Amino acid sequence: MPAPENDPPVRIYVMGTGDGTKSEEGHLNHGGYWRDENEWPLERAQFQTLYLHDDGSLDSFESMEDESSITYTYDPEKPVPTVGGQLVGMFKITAPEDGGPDLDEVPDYLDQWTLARNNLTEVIAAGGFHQKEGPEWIGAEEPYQLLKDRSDVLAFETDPLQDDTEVTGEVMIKLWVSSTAVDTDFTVKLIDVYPFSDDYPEGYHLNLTDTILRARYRNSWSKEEMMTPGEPVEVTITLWPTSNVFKKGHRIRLDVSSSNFPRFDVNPNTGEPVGRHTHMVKADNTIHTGADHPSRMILPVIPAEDD
Amino acid sequence: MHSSQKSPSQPRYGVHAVRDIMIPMRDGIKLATDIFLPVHGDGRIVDADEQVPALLVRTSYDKTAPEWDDVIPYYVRRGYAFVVQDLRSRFRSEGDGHYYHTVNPWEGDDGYDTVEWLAEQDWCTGKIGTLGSSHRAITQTQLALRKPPHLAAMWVEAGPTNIYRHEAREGGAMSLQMFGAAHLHALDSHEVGDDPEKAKIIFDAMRDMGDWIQRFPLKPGETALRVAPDLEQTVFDYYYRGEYDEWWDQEAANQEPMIEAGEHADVAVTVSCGWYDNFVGATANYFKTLNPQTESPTRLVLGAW
Repeated sequence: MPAPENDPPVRIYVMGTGDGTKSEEGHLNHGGYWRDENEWPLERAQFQTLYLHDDGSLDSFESMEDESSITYTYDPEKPVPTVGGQLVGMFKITAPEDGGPDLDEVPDYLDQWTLARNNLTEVIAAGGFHQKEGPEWIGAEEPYQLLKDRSDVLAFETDPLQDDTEVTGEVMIKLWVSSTAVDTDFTVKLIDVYPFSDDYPEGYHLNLTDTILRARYRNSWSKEEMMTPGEPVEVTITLWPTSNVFKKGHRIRLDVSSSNFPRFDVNPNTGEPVGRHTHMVKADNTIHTGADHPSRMILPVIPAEDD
Repeated sequence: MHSSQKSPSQPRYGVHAVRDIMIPMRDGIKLATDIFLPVHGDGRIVDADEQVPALLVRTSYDKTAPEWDDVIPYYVRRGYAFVVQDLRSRFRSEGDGHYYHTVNPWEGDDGYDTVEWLAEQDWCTGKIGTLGSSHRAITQTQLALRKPPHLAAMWVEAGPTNIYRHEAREGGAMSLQMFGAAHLHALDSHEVGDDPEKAKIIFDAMRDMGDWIQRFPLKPGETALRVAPDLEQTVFDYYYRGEYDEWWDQEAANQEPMIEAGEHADVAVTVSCGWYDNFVGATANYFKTLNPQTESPTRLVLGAW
């Protein structure tokens, strides 16, 4: 039912607009505010296309070259560790040395859930985190690097923004991809990059929304279709919605890779029936960036109120 | 605050708990239900002379869980009956032992029968609201597709409406969180029952979940969930059914087509979710699809959690 004007049907929390300092508890002050809206998605959104370039830049201009690309090697034995994100979380029962129950303690039927829930530790944490490896993330290894510095992560980012830029809604990614494998995965992650600061000397790379596409389902969820190795195909990936003000001086970044584990199972790159693979192989995965195969991100940008 | 809005209701009742009411479903199975009724200071419980609306939670996570300890008195003191029910084959409810995580074909009917049973109680105005998050959100949507005549309002927090797209196979990959979640559901499950050896197998796996999750590809029978075969089968349905097939297309696993087809109850609905929840897309779509269809108001709240 259309809502009366004084009772807007939608209320969203617009993230961002904080001062970027570190709180006493060690959290980023990302800020934000509640705002009423009359509809979802927002009708005033203006769709802005940003093109991915082979030098890692992200801007409004299609490449001058017909063909360009970047290739990375995805090794399913060494997947990109999950560092937060949009997820429910996964839990374990806390070990005795960390204050959990004794190993032999198993409560009676109908008391098990109570004991477990009082002693849960996150195995995969949900939410926004600085996109850097660390001992708390499964699969992360020393030296703990920024995810963007991994050889299997391609980071595409804008210049520092001249103005505050609000993105609210679903972000669509159109990638031209090819692979040496008949099936592989492509992950995308939208990141708000804070500039260097006293509190965060390497900046803060805040994940906003991210997802995955298993290539064999690129054309249909109900009918798998293997890729032809080396042949570029365009895939469309729609991110879950978000709402964020990228502040002046921040950068908008899109990370592209081929794994996000253990949030998602790793693709063995073999094209075998899912879940029943017998071995894993490395894949050289290519993101095409030239004018003939323009990979791009389409952002719903909300005009500033005084525009 | 707008002048058109009523001032919030004030607390003026105490809480009278009636536990383990066994509510009969259409097939004779009885579901364990706690009902908390408003009671006056002089001990007079609401009845046919002073009827109240009821708020219903249908949960797979133990109706006695402490998560409701603050919620129940908040509503009951303001004049609502609050009702928490264990799903079929969960905790203190009856059932045939079968339980398939979030894909249970009987939930719509059980929800319908519970709403209509509550509406018939002499203390009830006949208006029933539902609430709850996650799996408790799914059970709301499932009953709303049955359009129980006495359903009046819903607050659906962070629920998937398409298990393939939103919960288990986002982007065609396996959401391994579901492996961990199934272990939580195996606790106190009817299948494990009061067998301490089986329970210990689940507990030990939950202690080592960080290692277990790195052992895929696993096969059926290799996981601790073998002691709760329906849950293990469901996890491997999630894991092996990479293509969206007829199993994913059953109503219990995907309510989106029915919502799109106008099969959802026309009642006041608030849907809400956090930006960092993987059900935020499902929640926004729920609003987008339902809002133009219904005469009743629909509301969407998306926040930073």
